[in-house]
Amino acid sequence: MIEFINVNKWFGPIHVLKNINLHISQGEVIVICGPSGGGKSTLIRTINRIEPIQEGEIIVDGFSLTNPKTDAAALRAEIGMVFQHFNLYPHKTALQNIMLAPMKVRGLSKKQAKERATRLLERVGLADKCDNYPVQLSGGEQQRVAIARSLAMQPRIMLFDEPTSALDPELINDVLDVMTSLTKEGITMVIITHEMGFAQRVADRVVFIDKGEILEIEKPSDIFVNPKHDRTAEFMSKILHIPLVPNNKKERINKAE
Amino acid sequence: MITGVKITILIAVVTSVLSLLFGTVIAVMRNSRIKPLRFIGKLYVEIFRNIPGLFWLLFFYFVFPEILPFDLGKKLNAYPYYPIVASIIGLTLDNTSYVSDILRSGLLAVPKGQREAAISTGLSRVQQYQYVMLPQTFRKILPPLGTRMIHNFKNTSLCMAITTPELMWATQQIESITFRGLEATTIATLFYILISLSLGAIIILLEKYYKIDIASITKMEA
Amino acid sequence: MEFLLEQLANFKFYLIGAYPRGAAGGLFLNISIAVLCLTISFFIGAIFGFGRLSCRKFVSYPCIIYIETIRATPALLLVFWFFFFIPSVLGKNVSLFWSAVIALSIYSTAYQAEIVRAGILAIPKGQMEAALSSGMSRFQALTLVIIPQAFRIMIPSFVSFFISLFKETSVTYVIGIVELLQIGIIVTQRQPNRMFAAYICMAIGFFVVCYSMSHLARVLEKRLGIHDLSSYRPTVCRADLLLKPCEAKNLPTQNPT
Repeated sequence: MIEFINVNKWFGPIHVLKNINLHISQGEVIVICGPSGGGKSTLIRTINRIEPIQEGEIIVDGFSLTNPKTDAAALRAEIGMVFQHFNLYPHKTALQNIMLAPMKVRGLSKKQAKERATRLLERVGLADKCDNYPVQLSGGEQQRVAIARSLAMQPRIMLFDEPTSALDPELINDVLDVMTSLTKEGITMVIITHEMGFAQRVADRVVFIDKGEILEIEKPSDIFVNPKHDRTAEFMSKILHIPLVPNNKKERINKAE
Repeated sequence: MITGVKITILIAVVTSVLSLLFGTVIAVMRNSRIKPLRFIGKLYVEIFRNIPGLFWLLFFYFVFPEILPFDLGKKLNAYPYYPIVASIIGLTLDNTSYVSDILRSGLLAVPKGQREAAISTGLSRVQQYQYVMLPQTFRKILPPLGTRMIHNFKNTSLCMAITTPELMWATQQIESITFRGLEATTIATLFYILISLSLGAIIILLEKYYKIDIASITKMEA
Repeated sequence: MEFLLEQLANFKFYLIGAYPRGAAGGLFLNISIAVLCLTISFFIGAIFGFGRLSCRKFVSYPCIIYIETIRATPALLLVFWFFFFIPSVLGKNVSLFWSAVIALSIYSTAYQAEIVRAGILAIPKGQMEAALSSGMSRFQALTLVIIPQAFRIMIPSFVSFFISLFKETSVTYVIGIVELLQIGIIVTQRQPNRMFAAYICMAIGFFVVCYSMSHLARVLEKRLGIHDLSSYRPTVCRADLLLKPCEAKNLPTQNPT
């Protein structure tokens, strides 16, 4: 579904993605984690070409993103994206926010779009807020509207860029619940999050990125308990508040004993 | 004098609408990725902002017909409504530069995430501007835009210089017939004040109408 | 090009008119009218600006009426009106130059007043609170803390207002003042076949002055890190900035612009 082949990216002199190779198959739920500034956001943004890459190739759904013939807008319509800061359109109500793209990109009639939007709002538990402007909604509600907005395009891939890190702690669960319910629908999902409990529940694989490199790709059960790499271990222990020792050191310790 | 008021309003409305249209085009051009387009936009704004509107009126009335291929210019000069047309061209071009500047600063102030959100739902470049960026910009720049439009209305008085039969010109005519300059000018002033203030009131009403939107735009940026 | 070269012979005429032998004129006159008006109106404008901030209605209302009325009137009309008004009051003719200076000064007081008011309102509330809590009187706080800061903020606005005032000086040609535009017209009347070149000379004259001033404004904005306030019209009335303490509940509510 999504294939990264030797992807490299620079912001001016800074090498932000180094030789990324990653294959994500259909229906898979991938969680990306790692320290901030490590290239997580950039990686996820290259998937819908909001950030262009300088080297390598990304193939999404059979189309190469580096090929100039690829219609980026059409491809993006198949990829939903949820942002850290929601990015709802402030001049439109919740319902209008959801209806815009289906009407203008998919060519749905106003009635069909409204029907779909209402259904999605119900699904994220906000049926009563349809005529509210974003400013009248709490952060968690805004983020759920943003998820509904992406879902309205019936995407086959969903990208989540730290969807809960701008939220107050008590609002996070509502958003995570909606996301958990999505994982059961066979949509390919790529999620950046620091909610490790959530990651453990839903992720098929966890990718750990630091300094622009993929250090580990593992099943959640492995990466949380038995990290291979020093930096992964350090990061995980900080996040999970438990001391972890990487595999290779364990062996060394065992040998020493 | 009443005909004068009508023509003044006509010129003001036409130039405002046209300059809003062109202003949007120039602002989007100046925001574009393509360098020549940006350059043309900037050149336009610099030229028209740095030379008084009165100059452009005189230019389009006196000089423009001269530099056209011969026949066209003569036809224009013979055309009885040419003063009005020249006023509209001159004022529109002048006002466009200001409007586009206001719009551009509005566009620059739309958070980057808004555009990214629009891109990620697959909206095309035109649609991004049409449904996401420009509506927000317009709501935000309503107050300075309103001030500008009032200014544009006041600038229509300059058209008297090229014998456009608008309010100020009519006043001059009355003065030259009756020699009661002070009275005629006072009445004209009252007309201008009345219309400008009611325009101001309309803008305040518009702001009230969009209040929730404006509030939300400002708050979301904070 | 040769048109232009011919016009260069007239260049002195464009710049200072027939000065050594006759009256001063041309670009020099535009600049001197603008500078004079700016200086005169700065002080009067400041008074009206502060007056509008006052909480005493008999002070603020006349100021509001004055400012709004002048702002609603075209500069051209004010120039005309004073041209007729001054002789009818004084019973004798004043020179055209002073009549124009008075009219444009009156015109610019209203705008300067608004710049002053915007500058003062742009100072954060905490400044006044800090000054008051250190034991200063309201007047001291205003003159020692608020105004010095506000003045800095106003500088770019004054420059850009100067540009528009400079352009407005061109309207004085209607009462027969021999400024740049009038000179251009005189030249075209003498040499009708050189019309285009004459207009180009006028354009260059205006452009050079305005462009260099707007460049200065930009440099100032960048260096001082502040923006032009001249198109910003504050609608907020803040209790802490009023010249005399009065109850906040009598104030108009804040308008979010």
